Amino acid sequence: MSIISLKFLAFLTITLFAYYIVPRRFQWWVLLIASGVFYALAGIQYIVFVAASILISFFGAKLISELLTRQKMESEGMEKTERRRRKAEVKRKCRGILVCNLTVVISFLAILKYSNFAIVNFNVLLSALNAPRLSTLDLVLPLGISFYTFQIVAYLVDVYRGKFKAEQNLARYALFVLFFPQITEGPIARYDQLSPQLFGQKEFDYDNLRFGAQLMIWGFFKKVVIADRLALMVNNVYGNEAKYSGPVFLLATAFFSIEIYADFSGCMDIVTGAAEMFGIKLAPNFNHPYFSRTIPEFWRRWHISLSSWFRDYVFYPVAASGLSLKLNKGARRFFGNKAGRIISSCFPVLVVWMLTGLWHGAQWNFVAWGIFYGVLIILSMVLEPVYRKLDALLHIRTESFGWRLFQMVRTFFICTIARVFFRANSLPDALLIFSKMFGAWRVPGGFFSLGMDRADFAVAVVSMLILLTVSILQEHMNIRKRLSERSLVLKWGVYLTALFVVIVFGVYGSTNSGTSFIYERF
Amino acid sequence: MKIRKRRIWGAVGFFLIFSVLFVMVSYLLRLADTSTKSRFAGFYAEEDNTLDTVFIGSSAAYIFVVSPKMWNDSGMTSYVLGAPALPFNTVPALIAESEKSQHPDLYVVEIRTLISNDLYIKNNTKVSDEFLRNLTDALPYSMNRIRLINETVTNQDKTDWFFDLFHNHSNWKNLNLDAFSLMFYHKKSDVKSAYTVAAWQKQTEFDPAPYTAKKTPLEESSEQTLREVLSYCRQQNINVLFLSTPYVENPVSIAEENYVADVIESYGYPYLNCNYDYQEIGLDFSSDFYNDRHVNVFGSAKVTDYLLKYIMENYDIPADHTEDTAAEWNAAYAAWSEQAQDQAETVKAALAKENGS
Repeated sequence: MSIISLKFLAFLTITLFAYYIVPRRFQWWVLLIASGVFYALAGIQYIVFVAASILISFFGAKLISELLTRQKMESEGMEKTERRRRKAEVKRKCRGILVCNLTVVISFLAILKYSNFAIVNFNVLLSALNAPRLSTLDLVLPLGISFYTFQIVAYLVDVYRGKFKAEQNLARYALFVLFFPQITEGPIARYDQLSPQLFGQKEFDYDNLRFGAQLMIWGFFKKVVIADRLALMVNNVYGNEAKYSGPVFLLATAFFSIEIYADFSGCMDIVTGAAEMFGIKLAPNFNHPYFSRTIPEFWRRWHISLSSWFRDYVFYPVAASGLSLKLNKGARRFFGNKAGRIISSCFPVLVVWMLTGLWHGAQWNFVAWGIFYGVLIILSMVLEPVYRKLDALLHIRTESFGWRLFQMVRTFFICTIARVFFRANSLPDALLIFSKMFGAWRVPGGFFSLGMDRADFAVAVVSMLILLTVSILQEHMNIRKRLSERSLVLKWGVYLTALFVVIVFGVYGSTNSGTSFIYERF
Repeated sequence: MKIRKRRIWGAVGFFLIFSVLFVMVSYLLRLADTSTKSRFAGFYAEEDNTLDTVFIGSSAAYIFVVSPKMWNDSGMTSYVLGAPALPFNTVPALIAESEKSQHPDLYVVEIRTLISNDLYIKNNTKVSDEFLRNLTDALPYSMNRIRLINETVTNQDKTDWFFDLFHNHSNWKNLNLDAFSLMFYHKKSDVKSAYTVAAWQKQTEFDPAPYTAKKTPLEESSEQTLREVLSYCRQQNINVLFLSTPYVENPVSIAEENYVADVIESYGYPYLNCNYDYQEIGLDFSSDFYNDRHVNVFGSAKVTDYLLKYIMENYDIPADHTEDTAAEWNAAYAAWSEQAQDQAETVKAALAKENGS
């Protein structure tokens, strides 16, 4: 069930109604049943994977938690050395359980998502050896597997780290994993943030309903009016690389940058709004990323839950690993403390970005995209002192509007270049586009034959200006709150206009191709 | 408590305003087939109980029947409630829709879409959906519209049929001033549903006489539909004449029509198959058609004359109307005559060119 369908709105309405009429202690059961139904509607056969992941991680985390609690209780009367020995022993056991659990849970994702990637690449080797090729597997990814797997991994690791105790109720844990607004595209929730909200007893709050609905409408606007309209042109250009040449690729990719933002952040607004109606506040996943002045800042503002997941569960463990520490030591010895520290941090950065690329898709263009960002971030770390010196030397007022604007445009441009890898259908396609991007403009049929006619283009431009204006305002105020303080006529005028803009100017329905979200594929 | 009450009323009020706007915008953007929409809008704009006869059918009805001419020749008011390729199972819903404002003395139902050589549309989902959209877009929101959709749309999600704005929303690109005038389904038809055509194509004459005794049953679903329509008419106790307008027939279609005649007559209703009367009508296959299935402006006039004669001879239509109604219909006849004259000139010129060469 697409979250931009009328079916979803009907489903949400029924769930909300049930949620607020049942006795409060049963509210979370309503969410669990709704989430189960939502998942089953996506394909009943995929429930087996998510169910297995839930069962394995639930019992695994429970065991780890019990071992840690018992060890804590036992160690109270122990001597220091004995306590340490016992702690290390329990830690070792827990690590074993954790590794087993992670292996199983991640292997579902790895097998379903990366088997064909491995087979295709292995076939290259086999064909070089004139050996018979392996055939690819007919696999379809279960709904939200990349998102719920990461959520489960975070939960297991946090229990192992003793951040919180494991959930004791399987049904409650299942709800944490399956919570329907976020299962499709995240945000990747942390148990300690989400669970108190899921299981807390909620009184009906008109404002939650109103603000949630407003956020959803804004999300629909971003998705169907902006993203799906820009996709008309982007998909055409990226599906016919041979036909075009010149800056049309740059333009299409810049549009793709906006499309993917409107698509993903639109989805987040819809799911956050839906959750807000139940009185549940999901963690923000975007913070106006295109206002970022540097690439690292961009990644602190874009897909925040994924970036922070990689930071907490990949970067820190890799940086603290034995190999990394050895590298650090060696680099410091060779390059001195300052440079050595930077150089040694390249390893975890590259690991994180390669994995980030792979998470987005089992294709070499995604790996290249990840490496591109990894290298950019390393360069920005290495060159930061140089930039500072240059700023001082050239007397650049780094906080002036002009300079900040330049930095934002520069960041957007770099992101757009990186998006070529991201959007292209393959790595050779991406390289072909780069080779043609700066050539002479060739668009047979003219600009308005690219997928968006004049009317669509006009709507796209106006919508993007609205998006920009709202984003600027959001940096300075809470628009929804401000609007709620206005007169009824103005408020209703805005709501109704927004609704009809979405309904009329949206690109959706049987005559249009767009409906699925880009990140749904990941 | 007071705040809660106010909020509930606020939500209800908001929903009502949204619903009204939704309906208005839906009507505004129903632009795929404005000619069918304006035909229906014209019907709704007629004063209550001013129509003596209502014709229902596909292009086999509205291209063949010239209501202003009928008025001029007899004083009988009539209107064709028709849409391209109108599926036969929509007849009950359209009769019900007509009965909301008109209680005509006679309904004339054209049956061509039951015959197998017309079923290519029914069997091509994409094409039939497109035609069906033209019809559903021509009806304002009502229970009859819901009924019509339920009976005709199968094997697909009906949401955007019921709430067609979700299908038609992209029509904002084609919005024009005419769309606003048709928005409320209340714009009188200048020519009272007449739709004559200024084109020509030579056809080969087909005489159905040798096939009088040959009868081929309809497809099972078509026969079931026909029987349902007949039962409905009987249930409603209304006066109905079933009709086949003339076209270039073939042995299969005439045999099916013969079978249809038996079924219709078994329910006690008359059936007039004009295909047998083409000579009496005076149809000239070399000049009165614009394709093998439709007549042009000359053919329409001839078929209309014949139908009018048949109705006048077989039905008692009082045809007494107020001066205002008469004035309006006279104006409609004048408008159609002018238009028909131009159309006749065009066809004549085409014929002369053909004969000259």
